[in-house]
Order: sequence, then C-alpha cells, then structure tokens
Amino acid sequence: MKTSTKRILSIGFAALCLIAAFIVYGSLIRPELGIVADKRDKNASQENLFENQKAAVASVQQLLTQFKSFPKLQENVSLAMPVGESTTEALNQWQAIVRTSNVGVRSFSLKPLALQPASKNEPLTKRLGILEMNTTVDGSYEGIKSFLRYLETNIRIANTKSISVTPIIGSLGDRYSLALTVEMYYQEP
Amino acid sequence: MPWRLLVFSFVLLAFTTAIYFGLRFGYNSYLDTQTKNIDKQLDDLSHQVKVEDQKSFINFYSQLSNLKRVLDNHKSTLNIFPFLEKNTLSLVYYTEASFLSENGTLVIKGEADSSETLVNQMNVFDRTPELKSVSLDQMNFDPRGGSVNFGATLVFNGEFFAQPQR
Repeated sequence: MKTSTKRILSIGFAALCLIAAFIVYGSLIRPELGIVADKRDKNASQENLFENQKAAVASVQQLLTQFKSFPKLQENVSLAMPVGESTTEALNQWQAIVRTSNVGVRSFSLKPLALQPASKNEPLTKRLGILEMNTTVDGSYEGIKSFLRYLETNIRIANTKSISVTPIIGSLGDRYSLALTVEMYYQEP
Repeated sequence: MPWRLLVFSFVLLAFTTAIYFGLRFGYNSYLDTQTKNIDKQLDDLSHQVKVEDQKSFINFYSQLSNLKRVLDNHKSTLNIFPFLEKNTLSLVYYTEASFLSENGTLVIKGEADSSETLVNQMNVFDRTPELKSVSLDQMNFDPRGGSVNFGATLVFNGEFFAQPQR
C-alpha cells in the first residue's frame, strides 16, 4: 500500500472515530447525564424527607413516652371529655351532685343531640357530641345554689343553657324549684 | 502524524464510550440502589411508632382539643345568684327568675314595697357595670297593700360569666 493511501485511510479512520465520539457524547452521554441528575435530585429530597421524618418520629416517641408516664392525666381528661356518650357516668355524677347538694328531683331527661361539625383547621380532632340534660330539682335556696355550683364545677364539663327558678307555693319554709337545661359533652368514638 | 491523530481519535472514542457505560451501568445502578435503601429506611421509620400508640395519642390530642373548645365557651351562670344577692334592696324580693345563656338575658319577676323602692332598685341595676342593659317590662300596683309587682329584663355582659364569682 502506498504511503499516501495509508495517510488518507488514517485520516479517514481518525475522522470516523471523532464523529463517533461526538455521537456517543451527544446522543448517549448527555441524556444519561440528565437521568442521573434527576435521580440525584430525587435521592437528595428523599434523604431530606427521611431526616425530617426521623426527627418527627423521635419527637413523637418522646411525646408518647411522656404521654404514657401520666396515666392519671389521661384518666382525668377522659372524665372531662369522655369518648362516647358515657350516659351512665353522667347519671352517676348527676346523682352524686343531687345527694351532696341535698335537693329533691322532680324530673330528669337526657338526650343526645347531633354531633358538632369537625373543625377544618384541626383535622385530627374528632367531632364533639352533646348530651342535653333537662332536670328540675327543688330545695332550699342554698341547696339549689349548691346544685348549680357542683354541676358547673363538675369534672365532666357542663354548660348551662337555661335556668328557671320559682318558689314552691305552700311549702314549709322557703323552698324553690330549679329547672335547668344543661349541655354535657363527649367525643365521638 | 496521521497515526497520532488516529490514536487520539480512537482513545477519545474509547473514553466517551467508557463514560457512557460507566454512567449507564455503574453510577445509575448505584443511584437506584441508594433510592431503594432510602425507601426501605422510610418504610422502617413508619413502623417505629405502633399503630395503637398512634391512635391512642391522636385520640388524647383530640380530647384535649375538644376540651379546650368547650372550656373556652364555658360560662359560670351561678354568678347570677351572688349578683342578685349583692344588688337587691332589702324591700324587694323576687318571685320568679329565668335565664337564657345564649343571649345572657335574665327575666325576673318580683315585688317591691313601693314604687319608690322599685325605682331605686332599677337605679341600682342601671349603675352596675355587669349589666349591658336593664328594662322594666311591667309594673302593677296592689291597691290593698301599696306594694308593686314588677317584671324586668336584665342583659349581662358576656365577660360576666367568664370567671366564677364568690
């Protein structure tokens, strides 16, 4: 083969290799670099998420440890805001209040009202239920006052909606009748 | 000289090809493995807090939140009794009282020994800061004894029921 032919062939092969190198870079390496960059971004955000979640889980575990170490608090909160209607509990408390304040019962009724709509700002908070209690008791002035005081300071929260006080005509001494409408609360199970 | 150019071009092609395969089958696979590891770690993390504990804690949080909501609206309606005891003249007594918590309105019926006493009683109510408004709804004179039967509506300020009074 002539030297000039060899030279031309060498230049031709070199040109082909260069073109092939550019093709490999342009059509294979560059798209692959894009894919790699996407995956690295995804990994970085996942790692960030993992670190945040790890910190959140650590906080939750700490809270749970604290939460479990105060069983009395949970018990008291459940008495103030029971889960479910707990009508028997409400009745027992009402009866204890009647006994302590030394009043007589004329009437009593307890009915559940519709559940309150859930708050949009607090998605974890369950709906609030209301038990409406209508009762009429009679007793001395101090007696009916005590009844109302014990009811309003009872561990189960009660909000008085209406009160009506009338004297009992024909009774010995000053006796009054107290008619009340009270709302008691609970949380939906 | 052309040989050197050929060797250089060949090396360049081999280098770019090696980079491509390195990226495609080396670094890419490494990143895939890393993604799987992080996903597994995240999955493990979600199992670190027991479902029962989560439920119980959310329930407790909800109870506290509801309790706050209820306590924020809690009213001490018993305050009406000491209010009337403190602001009633000695020659006035009440025969009936009914209270509506929704608008803080107390409707009272009673008797005063004279119209002058009743006017004084209304003046006492007018001066008390706990009341938003006072109105005398009706008054009837008893022709025999000179006493006055009356009915009045007292509207309390909202803050009056916020704290229990002694």
